[in-house]
Amino acid sequence: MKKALSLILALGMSVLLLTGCAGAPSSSVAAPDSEEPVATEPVTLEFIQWWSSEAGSEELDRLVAEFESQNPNIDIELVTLPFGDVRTQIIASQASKTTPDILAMNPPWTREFYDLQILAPLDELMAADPDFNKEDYFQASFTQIEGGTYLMPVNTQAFYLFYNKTMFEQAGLTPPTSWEEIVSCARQLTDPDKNQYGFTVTMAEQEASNGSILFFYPLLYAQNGRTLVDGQYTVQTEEMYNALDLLRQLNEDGSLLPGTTTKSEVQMVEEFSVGNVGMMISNDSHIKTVTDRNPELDFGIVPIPTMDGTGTPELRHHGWDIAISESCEHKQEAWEFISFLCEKENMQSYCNAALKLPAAYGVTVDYLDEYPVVQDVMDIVNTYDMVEELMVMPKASACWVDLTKAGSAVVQGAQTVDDALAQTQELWNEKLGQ
Amino acid sequence: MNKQQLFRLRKRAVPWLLLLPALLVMAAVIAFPIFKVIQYSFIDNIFLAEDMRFVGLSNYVKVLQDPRTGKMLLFTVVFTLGSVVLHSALGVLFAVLLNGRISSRALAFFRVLYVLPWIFTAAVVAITWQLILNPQGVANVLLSAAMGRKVMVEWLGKPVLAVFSLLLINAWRGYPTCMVSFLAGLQNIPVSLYEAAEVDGAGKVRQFFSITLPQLRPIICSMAILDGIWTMNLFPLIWLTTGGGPLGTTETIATLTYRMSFVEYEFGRSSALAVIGLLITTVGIVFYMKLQKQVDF
Amino acid sequence: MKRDKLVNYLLLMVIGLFVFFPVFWMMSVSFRPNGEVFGNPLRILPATPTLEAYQKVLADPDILTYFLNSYLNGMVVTAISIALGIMAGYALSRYSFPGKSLLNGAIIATQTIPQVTLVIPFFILMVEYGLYDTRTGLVLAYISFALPYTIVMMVGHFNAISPELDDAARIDGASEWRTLWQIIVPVARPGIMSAVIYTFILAWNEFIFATTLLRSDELKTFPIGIALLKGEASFEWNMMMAMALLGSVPVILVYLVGQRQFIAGLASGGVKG
Repeated sequence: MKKALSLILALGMSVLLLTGCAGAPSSSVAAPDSEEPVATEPVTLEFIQWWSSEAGSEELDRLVAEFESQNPNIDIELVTLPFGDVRTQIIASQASKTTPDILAMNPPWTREFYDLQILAPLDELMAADPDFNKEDYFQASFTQIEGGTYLMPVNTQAFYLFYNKTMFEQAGLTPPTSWEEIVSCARQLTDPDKNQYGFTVTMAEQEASNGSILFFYPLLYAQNGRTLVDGQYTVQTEEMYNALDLLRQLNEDGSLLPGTTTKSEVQMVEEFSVGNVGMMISNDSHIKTVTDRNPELDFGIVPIPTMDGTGTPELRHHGWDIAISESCEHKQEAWEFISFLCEKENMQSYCNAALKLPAAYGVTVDYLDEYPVVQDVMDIVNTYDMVEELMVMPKASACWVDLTKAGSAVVQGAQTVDDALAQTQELWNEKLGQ
Repeated sequence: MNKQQLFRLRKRAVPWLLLLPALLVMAAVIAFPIFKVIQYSFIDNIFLAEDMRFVGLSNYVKVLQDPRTGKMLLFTVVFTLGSVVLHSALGVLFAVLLNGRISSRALAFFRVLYVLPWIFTAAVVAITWQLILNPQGVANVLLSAAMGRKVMVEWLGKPVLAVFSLLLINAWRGYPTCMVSFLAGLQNIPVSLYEAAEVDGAGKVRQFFSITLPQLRPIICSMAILDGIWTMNLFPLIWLTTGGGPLGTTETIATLTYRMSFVEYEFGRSSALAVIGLLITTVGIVFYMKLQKQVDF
Repeated sequence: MKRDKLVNYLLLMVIGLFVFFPVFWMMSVSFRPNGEVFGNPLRILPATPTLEAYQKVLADPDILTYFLNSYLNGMVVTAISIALGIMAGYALSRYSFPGKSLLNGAIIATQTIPQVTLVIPFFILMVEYGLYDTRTGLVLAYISFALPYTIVMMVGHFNAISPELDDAARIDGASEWRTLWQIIVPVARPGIMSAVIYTFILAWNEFIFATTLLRSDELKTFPIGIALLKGEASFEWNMMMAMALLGSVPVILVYLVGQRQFIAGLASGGVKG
């Protein structure tokens, strides 16, 4: 009797709780008015991002609050998700027609979202804004897709060669200026008995599986190579071959820290911070991680050299960008928030807090004392050109996973570089219909 | 309608009335998505309403022709069978040990200990095991100490080894579900059976094989079928540890459908693959239905 | 007798070491600064143990919200799933009717599609119902996931209870409802408990649908909270482990209470065989 009563009580309470909690879906989901939005009509904009769970989140909150106080009719709602889930959630919300208004973007997602009709072009909004000047910002994010601009950069990152200064000095080596030197430095720094290795690379297949864009693409651009050649996306270029061959060489020399096919990008960076690895290719957003994990580590950053040391390498561009969804009902207000966030002053304060580099010319950061390596990075960024092909490449995610698998096959000795690239090209051709 | 007819009607309605709430929830919540997935499997370009079109069985053909499918099915079978066997064996063994005549305090302590693998969300389990099985991680450190020389086994990085490692991780992660079900089942076995066997001079081991196992058989079978279905569709644990790698050697139906939809944007094909998986597991379900018929009163 | 006890203890302890090791590693990581999670050489116990991870977790009000949400969801999902499962299980155990085995099959069949494929249709459905980003929507989704197991468990355990018990109750004039709740259910407590434990843990651990069906910070669950520690550039290893360990405490409490039902010889035994 007691048991039945308590069960019924629980049931009843549950029903009460549920009816009480049949909550309010966020206002952007409900059907809005169909009239022309008036400037003073209260507007709520959902901004989906992962930035609130990273460094600098208080500054983001402060900027949002400042914007809202300057624009009392606009309410910005931050929808925060872990980085690993933002992309799939944007896609899922598009499928159910609940796409948030403002989207934090990882540049490689751009073309895919464009093809799913998720993004709105920003050109008219930019042109109509008297206080906005496109020329103030690094141009990589403004690469056009079919004549339209879809991204606004919030900060910039690029890929470099990180090297362990202590290990190099102890071995009497200087940072490599050619790929031959990369191989020989790696070889000389490797001593398995002392658990020391020359290089750490990731070609793992879990989650993002982004080893290819972390390693091959930067090496490709260092040779001024491209994947888009004569209107076709190809991996069978000399430069891409060299990139995979470098991996093969490092692997055969035994210079790679074991675990290439299992470690994630984050684990690779952790390994570098431990201090028993000579080099890694990574982007400057990891400077903070490495420094925080191991303040004793003396490390430096140089641009990845060209293959033979002559000519000028290019850098692979990355960063945090922002876009407006096509289904957003208040694009003007969304743009006002974006241009506010990217005003030089605000970009600077946000970058200071998030320990990132601004994506605008002539904007400095104030954390150079804590992270002196960033000075080197700033010099490099202002000297070398940046390239980003993934943001305009259709099905970029699927394609880079294929290339990572090629790298994994090479490292495991399952395929030669030529075969691996040939197979990847086949897969790319099928996916891209070329 | 006379009283007798009313009575008979009421009698026939009772089971349906009892089933109604559960069926309503399931029909309202899960039936629609399943039908949608079946529908998607026959369509291309699900996202772009203007370009969406019915393509018949072409998605199924593309899936079956996909070079990854064969390897994936092989691993799925190996992984599912291996996991189910390990879960059932460990589950029964631990349930019996945790049902023994030891102090109730010790019992509570050990029961909590043995259920721990179940209590953490998949992401945490994946990360923990990745840390442990990292070539520079504690597994190799202990192994090196035991073997007296440095070993750097790439537990999750070599094809065959990764399969073995995943089986180990999933065995650890998944046995508690079976164990708890079996523990509950053990309570239904009359103590008198054991007492009679003791009087007859049977030892613990014989009692286990001639009383415990046969009595638990229905639950073991039900759990095996459920566990098989759950393992086939297991996603987060595999995706977050090996992602189906290295080189697709640990790809299952669940990881491949995810890859097809959210990496390659082929929602039609991933739905077709899911339906193929459904058809395969229907075999298991038919067995379950037959089993239920046997036990019917 | 004594030898059996000894063997029992010994086996439990030795095997227990292997079972516990990963959890031990979680603890070891939770008490170190992040810089010591990887190391050369890697230390089994932290060189500079610290409580910083636990302090950060306990100081974060959002984490308390995630925790309470998961706990509340767990209780509601469990209460409803068990009630519905008991009723459905009783019907399937005690009655035969046309379409019964098909129904049995259909209930299990809902588990055969990988849940990741159901994500987008679920999303669409919940938006249609107006239940997107609500506790109700998520709870309903979890109930639909838990029901097949609870029903299977209940059927199995009810089958083990002799129908003579039902008959005795009916002869005494009890209705089917009373028979079920007052006579059969108390006898099936172990099975009910295993379903309670299963359902609670399912609601507690579930991540994919929680991420998809929720948007507001106030509704976010514990697994989402842990995933938020997986940043783009670095992970908060120690906080993740601390959070997971702290979060396991209430689940362990639920289990501790529940496992008391698994006391040998306490059950119906006497009527059967």
